[in-house]
Parts: sequence; C-alpha cells; structure tokens
Amino acid sequence: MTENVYAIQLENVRLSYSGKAVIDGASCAIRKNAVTAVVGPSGSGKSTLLRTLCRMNDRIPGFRAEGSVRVLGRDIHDPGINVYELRKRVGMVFQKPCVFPKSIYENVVFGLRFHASPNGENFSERAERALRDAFLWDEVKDRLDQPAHILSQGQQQRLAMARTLAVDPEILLMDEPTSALDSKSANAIEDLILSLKEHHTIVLVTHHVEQAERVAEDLICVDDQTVCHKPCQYP
Amino acid sequence: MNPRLWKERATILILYGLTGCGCLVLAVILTTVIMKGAPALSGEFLFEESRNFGSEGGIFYQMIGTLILMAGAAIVCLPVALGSVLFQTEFLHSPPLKKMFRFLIYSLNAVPTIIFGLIGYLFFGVLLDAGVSWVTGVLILAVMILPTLHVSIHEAVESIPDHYREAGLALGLSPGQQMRAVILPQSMYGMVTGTLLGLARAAGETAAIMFTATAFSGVQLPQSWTEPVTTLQTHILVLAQEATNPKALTHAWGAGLVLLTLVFILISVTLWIRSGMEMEAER
Repeated sequence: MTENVYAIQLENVRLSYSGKAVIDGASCAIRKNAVTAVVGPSGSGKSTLLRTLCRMNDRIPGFRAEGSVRVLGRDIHDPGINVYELRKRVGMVFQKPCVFPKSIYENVVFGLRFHASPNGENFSERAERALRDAFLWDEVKDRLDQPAHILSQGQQQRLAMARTLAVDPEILLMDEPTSALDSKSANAIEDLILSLKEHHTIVLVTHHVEQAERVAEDLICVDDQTVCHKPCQYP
Repeated sequence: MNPRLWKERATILILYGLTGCGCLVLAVILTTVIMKGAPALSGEFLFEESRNFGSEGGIFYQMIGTLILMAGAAIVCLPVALGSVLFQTEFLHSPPLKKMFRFLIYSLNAVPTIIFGLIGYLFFGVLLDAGVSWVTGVLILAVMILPTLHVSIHEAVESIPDHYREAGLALGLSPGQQMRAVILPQSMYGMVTGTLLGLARAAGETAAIMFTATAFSGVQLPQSWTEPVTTLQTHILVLAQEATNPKALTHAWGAGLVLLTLVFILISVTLWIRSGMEMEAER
C-alpha cells in the first residue's frame, strides 16, 4: 500500500565517509508525484542524502550506506539491483549546469542513445518532447545543431534537465539546481519544477527556504546527522 | 630605481636569455643539417635505392623502413596504452595499487633504450623466433614508446572534468558506455599528442633497433614477417662512420635532413588534426 503512495522510503539509514557518519538513523518517506524539498545548513549532508538515492556516491572511496533505502519499491542496495537501470529511472540534475562540448541536439539525446531500443525509436521526436518539457524548445528549435556552450547558464541548466528527461526517469533528483543562476533563470527553473511534478517525483535540495516554500509540498530537514519531516528551525 | 623593479627586469632578462639559448641551439642544428644535407637532395636521392654502400644512389627504402617501424609501433602501442590507462583510471580503485602502477610506468620510461633492444631481441627475436626482423623492431619500439603514450593519455583522462563523468553516470551509462561517450572523446587530445611524442621518440631511436630490426645494405621492402628493414637512422650512423668518403658523408647529412623533414611533417599533420578537433569540441 505504502509503495503506491511513496516513491522513496528510508529506514534507519546511516551514511558515512571512512567511518565518519554524515547522517545517522534517518527515516523518512517521499511521496510520489510531489515536490519534496530537502533543506538544512551547509555540510549537513543534504547532497550526500540525495546522491545516495541513485547510488552516485558508490564511486567515492570510503563511502558507506547502511539501512534500508527503498526506491520505487526496491532496496537499492540489494545485490541483484541493476544500478544503471536505477540511475536511468532516478535522474539527477546537478548544481552547476553541465553540457557536453557537442551540439544542443546531441546533448539532449546523449543518454537516450544508450537507453533507447535500436528499432524504430525516433530520437528527434523524443528530443523535441524533452526540450518542450524543459521549456527550452522555443528558444533553441532553430539552432539545434549549434554548440550547447553558446547557451546562457540558465538555458544550459534547462538543457541538462532536458537531457535527463529524455531518458524518461520516474524520479528527478535536483541538487541546488538554481544556486549558480541569476534570479530570472532561477524562476524559470522553479516554474519548470512545478510543471514536472505531474508526471515525476521530484526531490529538490535547496539552500533557500523561500524556494522550498514556493515549490515544495513536503519538506525534509537535514541537520546534525538527523533527518526530520516537520518544518525545522533552519535558518 | 625600486629594487623590486630591478629584480623583475633581471628575471625577465634571464628568461629571455635562456629562451634565446634554446632557440640558438635549435637554429644551429637546423641550419647545419639543412646546409650540409641540401646538396645531397635530388630526385635520385629520394626515389632510388642506395648503392655502393651508401655513397651512391638514394635512400628510398630507408625512408620506407623508417615509416614502417614508426607506424607499426604506433599501431601496436596505442591500443595497449589506451587499455592500460582505462584499467588504471576506471577499474583500479585501490590507491596503493594505482601508485604502484604509475611507478611501474615511470620506471619503464627510465630504462635505457639499449636495454630495450637487448631484452626485446632476446624475447621477440630469440624466444619467439622472430630473429632480426622488422616485426621485432616494431614490437621493441612499441614497448619503448608505451610509457610516453600512457603518461599523456593518462593526463588527458585524469583532466576530464568530474562533472562530465557524473553527468554520464547520472544518465545511467555503464562503464563501457561511459568510456565510449565521455572518456574517449574527451581525451582525444591526449591520445594525439601522446602518439606524436611517442613517434618522435621512436623516430630518433637507433640503439634499440640497430641490431634487432635493421640491416645496412641489400634490403628492400620486407617480404615476410622475419625480414629486416633498413632505416634512415641506421643509414646515417653507418655512413657517418665512413667519415673518409665525402660523398657518403653528404648522403648521411641528406638522410638526416629527410628524417627531420619526416618528423616535421608528422608534427604538422598532428597539429592540423588537433586544431580540427578543437573546433569540433567547441561546436
């Protein structure tokens, strides 16, 4: 029953780097098709928590995750889990916009090329859909073959989102996606987040409580190694 | 005057002086080779085979032999270097093992080339029964340029910004896909530069291939795996030893000029390809 309501469930989770705990005894649940904001002071482990949900921390030497982390109904640390499939279903957008030194179009289909089945997939249709979903289509539709680097930071961040959306993830993790942007671009991203929640579960790490209040239905506070649901005293 | 300003001016002067010294040495070498080698150049010299122990005829087969060895070494070495770099950066996770791997590669770089020749001959020539042959030469040169290629490709792979890797990873790319989509395209510069540096090193190498892969005269194109080739390097060395025959000596300078030109062409082509890739990357 709870799995129909919650996309992510954490139970007694302990995250540590070389034995030093960043988060200890965390239990919480994140609702499906809702925006959940993760707030807390710098260095409290918000990003570590977020990155754990798609096992991005696996490559960091000394990182260890204990406890039960269930994403879309399965424990992601189960030995049988396909971590690449998990990362495809749980997309992630980073703080700093990252585009590859390729054309705008190639950036959108970057991940799609490896996930789409070889027969009859129409890349350009899916690229257009992803760009429309990321509110970027009208700005770039006439220059898809131009280098992605010519776009503004805000556009690059939306391009990174389009690239993630193109592989059709069910959950979107966003690690302070607006902190490197000016306020106008940040507003565009916030509108985008609100429009995406209809079809996606969104977990947003943010520094700004105001932003969390504007876009999120649920709030998770991370502080002093603990994670709680109720509105916290931060800042 | 302000002593800080003096110091600054003196530093700049010393730097200019040192740069000047370096350029001067290069200019002297280039002028000498061009002045002494140019009289030997002619159609006959470039397109005919050498006769009468090098004092007559040309250096056609020497040029071909040099190209065979250099190209062969690059073709054999590149995949091995690339594989060892990817193993070190993508699959080797333990820091002490990584350190040891790096130490081994650097040690390989420090081995005198004659030792490569000796061990290479014992291993490829005697044990694998290749004898004095161009294949032995190619394999020895490939091992010799391996550290150069490895180090420059490794630097290129290591300098790929982490956010590119993370972006690939977050899209659910497997290690193999990550290599194809992110690591190889982003480290292409290093591969080209490394191959170039390796080839330049191979082009200058005489000791390791002198007695393992090359013969001085009576050699044309190799017809089988076990035949030797003749190279510009060997040719120059042997002719220079015949210092009494002025014609042979001119031919040695001529061969030197051709070798220099080959390397120069190689560098130009590589830089051209590189600048093309730079534009591609900017696109």
